[in-house]
Amino acid sequence: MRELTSAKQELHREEMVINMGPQHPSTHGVLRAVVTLEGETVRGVDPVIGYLHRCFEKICEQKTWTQVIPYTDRTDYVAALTNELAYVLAVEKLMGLEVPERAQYIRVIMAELQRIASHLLWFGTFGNDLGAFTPFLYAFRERETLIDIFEKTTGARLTYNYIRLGGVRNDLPADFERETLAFLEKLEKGLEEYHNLLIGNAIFEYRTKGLGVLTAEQAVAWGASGPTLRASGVAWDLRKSEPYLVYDRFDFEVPVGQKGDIYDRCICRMKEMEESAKIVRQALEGLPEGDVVGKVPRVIKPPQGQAYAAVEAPRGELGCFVVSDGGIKPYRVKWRSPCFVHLQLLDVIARGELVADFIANIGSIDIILGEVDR
Amino acid sequence: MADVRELVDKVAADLSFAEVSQSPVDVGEMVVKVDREKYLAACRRLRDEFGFDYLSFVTCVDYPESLEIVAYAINLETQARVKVLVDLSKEEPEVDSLVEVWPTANWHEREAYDLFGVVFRGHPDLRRILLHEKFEGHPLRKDYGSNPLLKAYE
Amino acid sequence: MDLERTEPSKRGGIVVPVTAPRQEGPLFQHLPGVFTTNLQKLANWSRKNSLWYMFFGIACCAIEMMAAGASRYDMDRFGVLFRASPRQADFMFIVGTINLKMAEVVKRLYDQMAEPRWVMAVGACAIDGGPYKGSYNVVNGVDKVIPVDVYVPGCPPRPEAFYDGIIKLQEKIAAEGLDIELVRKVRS
Repeated sequence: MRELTSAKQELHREEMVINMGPQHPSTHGVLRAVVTLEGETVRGVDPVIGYLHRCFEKICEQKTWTQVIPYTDRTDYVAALTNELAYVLAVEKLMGLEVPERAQYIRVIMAELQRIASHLLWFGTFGNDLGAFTPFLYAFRERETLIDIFEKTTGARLTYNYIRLGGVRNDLPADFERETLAFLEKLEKGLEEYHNLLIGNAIFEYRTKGLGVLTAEQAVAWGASGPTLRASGVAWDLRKSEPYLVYDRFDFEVPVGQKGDIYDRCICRMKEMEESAKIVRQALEGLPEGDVVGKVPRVIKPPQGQAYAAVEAPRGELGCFVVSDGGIKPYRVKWRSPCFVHLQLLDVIARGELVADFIANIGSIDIILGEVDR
Repeated sequence: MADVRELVDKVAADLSFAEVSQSPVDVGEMVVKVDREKYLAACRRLRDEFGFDYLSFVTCVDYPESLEIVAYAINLETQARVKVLVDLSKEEPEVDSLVEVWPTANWHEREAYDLFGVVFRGHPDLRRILLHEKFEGHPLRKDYGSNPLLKAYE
Repeated sequence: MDLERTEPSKRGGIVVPVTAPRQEGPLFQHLPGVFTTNLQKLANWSRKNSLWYMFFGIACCAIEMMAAGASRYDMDRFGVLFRASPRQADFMFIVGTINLKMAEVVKRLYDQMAEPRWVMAVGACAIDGGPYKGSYNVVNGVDKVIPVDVYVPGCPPRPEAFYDGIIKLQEKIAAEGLDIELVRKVRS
């Protein structure tokens, strides 16, 4: 009998290395995750990226300062206007350009509407990852209304090329305020519906509560930002801590979670949509008259030096570090992408959990591979 | 928004081997220039003594005479920001890794190695991250030519 | 790394029916043309009306692909829906920039698809490298890796352009195995 017991204790366990991606319905792009499994439990994750490395930083060195803006659109293609904002703020800092107030308000309105669009897409795809397809259709229905508004203002559906050095490309169309307010009303009703449809669903809660826990110390040590950081209890939002544009004039709250699990991250994003709606309403009320572009030299030649500007993108701290040598082309553009940093977290949060939860973890970090790989 | 003028004086007194100044384009940013040997010690001091516990990024810039490593950290309490600059020679681009000080430096340094060829001593896993394993060369250097592996796809 | 690639398809004005295997076997060799043509037409009709694509979003155009399949622009009414596995898919949208690492993956996925299979290159990057053409890591167009049937230009193309592409693909499939004059008549 004793022999039998000892044989049971020496059960041979083997770890299996499986490959997920780069073609996978739930990896949000071309991410390849090499997962070490013991049975169904994850023992280690090694994300392999680079499947969308498009030489963005090298191309920036070969184009003029203004020609870089369409390329920044295509890094985080779901929230294109925020990328343009990060780059343009960095160059304006280097050049000391003044941006008129109306342009600043318009930039804030566009950035917040873009945040809503990005979170709606996250909501749809996250539901899809967990097996719920209907929220995807609902989210895209709202997003299409928003994209119509963007199209009327900027001319494009996805990659806008709208925020320029010194301001924005053109003024808002005549019925912008009416359409945006109508959309925000629909959104608020819609958010209630989405809470009932997905977030309040018992299966959703079971699959997200208590999983993928990231403590506050881990989040700060690993450089997390955005909803991923705030869900762990660290109240750090660039719009409040280092207000850029005219964010200090608006009254809004920043949702902060407590436990740092997947559920908290989801709730942070849902609440952020409501807060963005508040900001847009206030900005539309206070929108001043004036020019939409400031005094910008004909040929853009920033003085020699380095500058870094960061914005609060829907995914976290999106930063652009530019180096100029006084010429008409950038000398170096470094794109600080929040998703690149968050992918390192996968190893930290997915260990010890099941493979099915690993999918939920990837979705909760909200990665976009265009930004990760650049 | 923080104004780092007082912080600059304090840090200059503490890190006597470094050149500390306020950034000319940004009042909230402090610039610390150090030698390669003192880089890790300076970063550790900035984190422990001055509360810069959040690393934003680590990158490299290819200047005509040298490669410059840029490490950018933030103090979440006071919103102060610090940019640590180190100059490396192009023949021997080696420097200490910041992974012990800020774990998030892991992938940033892998990317700098991949695209610039900078070797980070003490990095737990220094291998290419964005480019193909068979890729040769470091493309973000100014003297990079073209990629011979693309000839198969012409 | 497997650097072999298949023969690139011809671009140009004429749609050349190439990919589907003809219905050839002992039965077909002995039947008169009126049977084989109608059987081919039936096969083509059933294939073009239930095209299932492999869900493979590479870059920005993937968002427009998702929008084209979502509520407002609903691809399901064309019989087009997505499948996760290449084995169950009829065609593949190539939505995004192909770089060196990705080219092997795309080739492998294309090989895993069962015939008849088609490829639609969507967006400027998939057609010839797009805004990233000439850089050190980007393959100038997916037709350097796999044969392409339909090219849909745009950066990113609107969902209506996706439909234009699907309809062209359907016309191409309708004409497969049949006379090329019929193809010209259908296209004019």
